[in-house]
Amino acid sequence: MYVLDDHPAVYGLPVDPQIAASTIAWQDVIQPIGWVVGGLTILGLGFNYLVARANINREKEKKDAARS
Amino acid sequence: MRQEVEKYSKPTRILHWVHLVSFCVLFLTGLVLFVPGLGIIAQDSWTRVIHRIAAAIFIIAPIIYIPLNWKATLRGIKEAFSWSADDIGWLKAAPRYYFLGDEAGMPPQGAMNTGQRLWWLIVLVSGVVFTITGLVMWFAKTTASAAVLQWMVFFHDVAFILAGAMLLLHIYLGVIHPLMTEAWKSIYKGTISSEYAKKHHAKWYKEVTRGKEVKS
Repeated sequence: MYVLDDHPAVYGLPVDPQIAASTIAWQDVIQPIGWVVGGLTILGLGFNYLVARANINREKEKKDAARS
Repeated sequence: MRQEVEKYSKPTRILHWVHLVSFCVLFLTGLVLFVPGLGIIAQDSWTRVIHRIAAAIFIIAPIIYIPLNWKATLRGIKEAFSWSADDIGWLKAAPRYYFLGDEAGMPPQGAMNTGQRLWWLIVLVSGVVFTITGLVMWFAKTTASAAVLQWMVFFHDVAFILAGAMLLLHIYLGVIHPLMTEAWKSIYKGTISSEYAKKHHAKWYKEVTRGKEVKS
């Protein structure tokens, strides 16, 4: 940590430093959205696989039963 | 006898696989920058070198393909932007099909169904965004302002989230989903059976049998 003895302007530093909008947009918006989208996609696909497989197996059994 | 119809020509299939592999490499080497915990892998910037090699392939492959397959390109671009009421019907009926295997409510589809066409549109749009923002970050690294570069990262990542999530869905539907058998064959061997075409791509099948279709 640095302690300035005088006004920041004296040292050629910004008087009122701000975090760039693009940094906030990346860190606080895009990053969390990425996690949520990625996580939900993987969960959704896993869920679809379990449901679809169970249903399609059941259909097959029905068809096989009808045939025999 | 089972009759087969050609769905994807050889150049289109080669482009698909080259693009898919390069995109998967880009996905993984980009992921290490998106996930802070994986940042350690990017040390000594060797993932950056791989990312750039894959990026070059990702950009050059379609540049070679397009002039050699001009008709198929035009047809493809036109298709990406043709949407109709059947697409709404498809989206409504899709959950019953993909979860329960019930095809009853699915409206007739062209060469690409609504879901495939949505992915194709995302591939086109995100491909352009990836290329432009990526080239700026690569070649204007020292000349562009910090703000411009940061916004490039932002839009690169927006495209990454959208295309990345859809890529997982694409691979899942092509390889893992229990109902998808012929879609895989269409991009691997290039053909689908005429029964499958009739059932799943009715509009396109009509064009094919009338001999009017332009190959994709």
